[in-house]
Amino acid sequence: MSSMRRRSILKGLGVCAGASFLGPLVSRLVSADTPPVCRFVFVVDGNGFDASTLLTDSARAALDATMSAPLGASRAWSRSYRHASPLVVPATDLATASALGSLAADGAVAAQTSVIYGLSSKVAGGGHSGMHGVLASARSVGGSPGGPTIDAHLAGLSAVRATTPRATLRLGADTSGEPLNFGLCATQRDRAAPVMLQPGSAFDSLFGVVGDDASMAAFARRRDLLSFARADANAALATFPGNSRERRKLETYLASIEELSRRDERLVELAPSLVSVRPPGPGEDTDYASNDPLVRFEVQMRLATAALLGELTHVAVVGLGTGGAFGITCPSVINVDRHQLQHEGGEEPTYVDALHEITRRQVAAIGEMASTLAATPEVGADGSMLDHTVIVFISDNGEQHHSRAEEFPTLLVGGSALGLAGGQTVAFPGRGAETAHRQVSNLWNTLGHLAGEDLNEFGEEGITRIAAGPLAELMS
Amino acid sequence: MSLPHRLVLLAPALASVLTLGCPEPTDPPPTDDAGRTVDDAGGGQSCESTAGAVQFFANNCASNGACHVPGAQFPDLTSTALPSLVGAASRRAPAERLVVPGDPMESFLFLKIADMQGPEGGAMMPIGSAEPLDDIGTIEAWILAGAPTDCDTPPPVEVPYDPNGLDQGELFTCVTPTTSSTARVRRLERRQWTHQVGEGRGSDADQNPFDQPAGRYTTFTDDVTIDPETLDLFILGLPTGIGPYTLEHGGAYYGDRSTNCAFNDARPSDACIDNFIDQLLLHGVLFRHPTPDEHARLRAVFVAALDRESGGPGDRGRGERGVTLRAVSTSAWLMTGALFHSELGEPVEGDPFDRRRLTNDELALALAATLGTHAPGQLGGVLADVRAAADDGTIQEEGTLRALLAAHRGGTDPTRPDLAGDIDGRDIPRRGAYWIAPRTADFFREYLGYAASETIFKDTPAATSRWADTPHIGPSFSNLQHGFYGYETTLASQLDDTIARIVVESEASGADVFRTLFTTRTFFLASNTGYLDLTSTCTTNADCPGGECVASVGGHCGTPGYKSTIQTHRPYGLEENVTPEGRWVEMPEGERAGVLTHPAWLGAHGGNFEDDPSAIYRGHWIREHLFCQSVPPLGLVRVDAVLPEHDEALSARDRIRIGIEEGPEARTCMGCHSQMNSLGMPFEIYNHAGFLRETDHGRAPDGSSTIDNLPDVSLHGDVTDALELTQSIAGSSYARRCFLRHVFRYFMGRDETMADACVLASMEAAFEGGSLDAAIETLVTSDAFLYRTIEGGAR
Repeated sequence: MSSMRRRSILKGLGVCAGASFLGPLVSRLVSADTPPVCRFVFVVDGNGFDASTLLTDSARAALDATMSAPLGASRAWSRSYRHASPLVVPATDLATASALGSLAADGAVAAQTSVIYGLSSKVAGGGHSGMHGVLASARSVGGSPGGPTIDAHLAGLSAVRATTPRATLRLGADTSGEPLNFGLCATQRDRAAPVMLQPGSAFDSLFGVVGDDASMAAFARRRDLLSFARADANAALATFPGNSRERRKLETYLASIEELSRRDERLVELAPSLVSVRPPGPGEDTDYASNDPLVRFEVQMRLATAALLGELTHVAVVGLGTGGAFGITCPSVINVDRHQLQHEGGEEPTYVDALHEITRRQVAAIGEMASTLAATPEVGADGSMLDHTVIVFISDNGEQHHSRAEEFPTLLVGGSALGLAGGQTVAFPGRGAETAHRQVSNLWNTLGHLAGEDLNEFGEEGITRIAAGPLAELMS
Repeated sequence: MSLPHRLVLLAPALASVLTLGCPEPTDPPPTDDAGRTVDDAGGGQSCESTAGAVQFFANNCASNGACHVPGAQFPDLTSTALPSLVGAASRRAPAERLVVPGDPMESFLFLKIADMQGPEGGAMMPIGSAEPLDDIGTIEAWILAGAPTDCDTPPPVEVPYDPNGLDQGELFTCVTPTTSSTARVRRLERRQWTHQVGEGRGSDADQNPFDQPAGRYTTFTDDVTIDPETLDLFILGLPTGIGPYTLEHGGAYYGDRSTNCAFNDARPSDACIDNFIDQLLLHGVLFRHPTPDEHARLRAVFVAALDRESGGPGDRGRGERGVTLRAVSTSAWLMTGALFHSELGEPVEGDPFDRRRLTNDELALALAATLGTHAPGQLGGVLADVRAAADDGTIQEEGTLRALLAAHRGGTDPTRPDLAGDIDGRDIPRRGAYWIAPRTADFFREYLGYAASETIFKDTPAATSRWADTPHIGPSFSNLQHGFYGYETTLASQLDDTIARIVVESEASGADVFRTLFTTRTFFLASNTGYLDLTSTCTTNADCPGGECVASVGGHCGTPGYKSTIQTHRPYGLEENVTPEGRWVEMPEGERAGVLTHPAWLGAHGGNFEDDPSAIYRGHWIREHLFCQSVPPLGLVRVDAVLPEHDEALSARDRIRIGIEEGPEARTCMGCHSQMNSLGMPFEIYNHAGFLRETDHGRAPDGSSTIDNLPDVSLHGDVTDALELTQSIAGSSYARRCFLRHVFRYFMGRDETMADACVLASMEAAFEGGSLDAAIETLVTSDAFLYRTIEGGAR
């Protein structure tokens, strides 16, 4: 990366606590007592959405002028790129993109919306799902992640976590009927982090302290449980005859009990503020029990929004059909499973429409989150919560159903106060441009920089990494 | 949560890391008469550089699956072997000396890592490097300092332990019969909790967060504990799993009437409370007798919860009493003793080695874990005899252990007791009648690694086979992966049942399990006629009202759903339909023999496309699982590992040859790929999904290979295909020993060490006739299984 571009990045660097070298800039923006806030939300689609759903007319015109052939009705075009440097197109016509109408409807959101094309992540592998690969920029082998995912990395930064009780909130929806999915996130290599698939459980975990009588009773019992577990663990350790390495197993368990106790105590402290942000619970909203994963995804998005409003977390992941469970059926759209929709979409136009409708609904849920955050002032800083939150919409697979991981179309919303540019479509050169091509790992570097970290490496691409560092074109 | 498995060694010196390109020191350190560096204070050898060298070799050359360990590649670069490097001749360039103290440029070892070895000097080291590592300066500094290998205060150096670095011959030579294992606590496995709360696979309880670190056997226990996220999710999921002692129909109410008072009485008596706590802990949570302390703590929870009740218990606990009982059960499941099973033992009076022996309760839990994931004495479970033996003390007798193993090792039963509760009852009739202990079945799944056949994407599964253009291959193959339609089995389940029959019949007949595994032609298949009306004949769809005429299977009418089952026999290359009565099929001679020719294994170790380098995955497995030699991990690869693009004219073999064996980085690539490619090429007669190829990019399928680098030289030579190779493997005593090492690892939940040599030798003797059961019995009755040492035992 050239020194000129790096200076531009430093100039526009995010203002999260930790970027101490910005000194006067930080003190101007932040009150004396409250550190600035950074939040990150990753909305992940399982198996992939069509690049065409994010394409505005202006971006289409700009790309058509550079591609090997006009895009026409193409749904994906990773091998048609011919430009040699990033194409930056102002996005003044978001509403012309089939999935972005909901974002265009809110001016405050539209101004902070960007579409990114051209980023590859070959290390993720492709196929039907790269599993943890795209968020980790590392290959998942046999279901085991090759490294920590970006959400775990960011949540590990004290500047991001701050005093929130929960490092990361991971939610999802599919049709497996299972409570957890281990195929999307990871805290480290070979250590998957589960995604909660049941909105009811997520509600209890987040808002049990201020839920209905049943939820509050369950929360109180949980505190008793942890107290009992602590006493038992202490008793076990007091008489433990094993060696230090074995002892450490029990000590870690005790430390986990203590951590959860502290988290619960923090929830009690936050309870008064959580009352106002608590969404309707399972007993009040029938969507929690819907058999439609898209509807449950929408519930999970509302829960994530409430969690952000309530300062329960600063990092959230919400997936739909991720972790290999992409063969979902969304009856509210069509009674055909997504796998069939993809395979037979070539012959059946209504199937493609259905796929695009699913994407529209996902983006609409993002829009709802973004609008809520845009309407909420940031405490201790100028601007809205959206200004201090970056929402990323990406797939876990890539450019098409049987993906080669050659392109991961991405939507970015928010983050203007962190230094993220909005209101544009940026198309990076394709893989044929060799050294000018960029990868998803560069996007993760960008987020790290927005969080105040000098994150120039991420993942396990090794020598297949083309360029280190963030994407200057995304920084304001 | 898991930490890397590391073995701390004492190294000769403190680390002193220098970066590549550092200038030579201007003031050479003081040296003794032998030219070795000494302390400035004049006392003893300097440790300034030696530990740096030791750590460099440990990180890059002599550990974690890398090559330069005893018995593997020359030279041995482990810390204890360093003195032998000084003045030793290179085998690659005999005129060169590996290490010349004080002179890096005359030291061939340094030249190899600096890429200055010349074209005759072989590949740059470490293997896989595209350029010298940043820290080769540590080796330069060490040599400049005189290559010291002894000093006064050696600091620790952490070296990942790799049992594949042990000499297999020594590993099976008994020298010191008395041994033990390191005392440990074993965290609950995921499926253990599922089954111990009385639930089956796929239930809510099955989705608990006790996943195991991948890449090792799920039975391994090192550093496996509970982090905050795992605990949070476990607590969230607890209520869904704790039926037995909380619900009327959970099991305890009708299964143990002594507990009814706890459900029904307005205020249970002290005796009732005490009994409920004891029964809950003994048969429902701890699966051992609780200590008085544990009993008292949980009793207090019960009493406090009773005190909170304001209404009555409700009918059979359906009122507030249910909340009380759930509070007690959930608390019980958070007890340390519930989540961590003890293998600490009790001191053995007079033992000259200060060993401890597993207690009756501990031995019962350990034995149960050898059989499956259910607990001894579990309410409604099948291991009541194990509990009884623990209670009367006979479990400490060898005869009792053998008898208990024999009682639960398997047999033939069409109701498949081993699968009880784990699969849909409608699937049972589609399974074979042979069954083996669940833990043994799981061992084969993990050892052979074929569970992945259900999840790996296969593009055009029948490509290059005679069935490439056969209708409905895609949906049928999908069903072989997920098994949704027709309640038919997946490829993985079919291999499960095939292996069960091999083990059961071999044990009964005295046949050799190991040999049969690699030579059998009797496979268990799914029926493909479930949605076919075999009584019908048709030529067009008009002949099939409400269905379709399926010409490819003999012109019968197919009912809706047939597409997902009609071609499930084709991966085996069969022409004839497989009826429900004829699921056991003898494979055509010359096409398949042994588990390594089964589509489940082939697919699990195959790529996504037919021209992917599946040969490399298969060769990798064979090297590590049949010859116990580690292939350096991908993390060491630093060259651009790229195959040629897919091309009609290029087969998988061509792509591997062009990209790896003859490419610009061939010298580097073949350092590792020489261990894999030749072993995998014989399997190129099959495609990525396990179909037998009929053609291969315009040429006949080619399974030929030359084997020349196995530790069992009797296997060296040319082979024509996979069948010839697996036939040879079946007769290899080296492979047989490696197999036993994996058996040891899995059932002991740890890697073997030299301290286990007598146990392995005994297992080998028991396995001489081919009885896997005898080998497992020998293991379970060995000192390694029964005895523990707080520090220093084998781990």
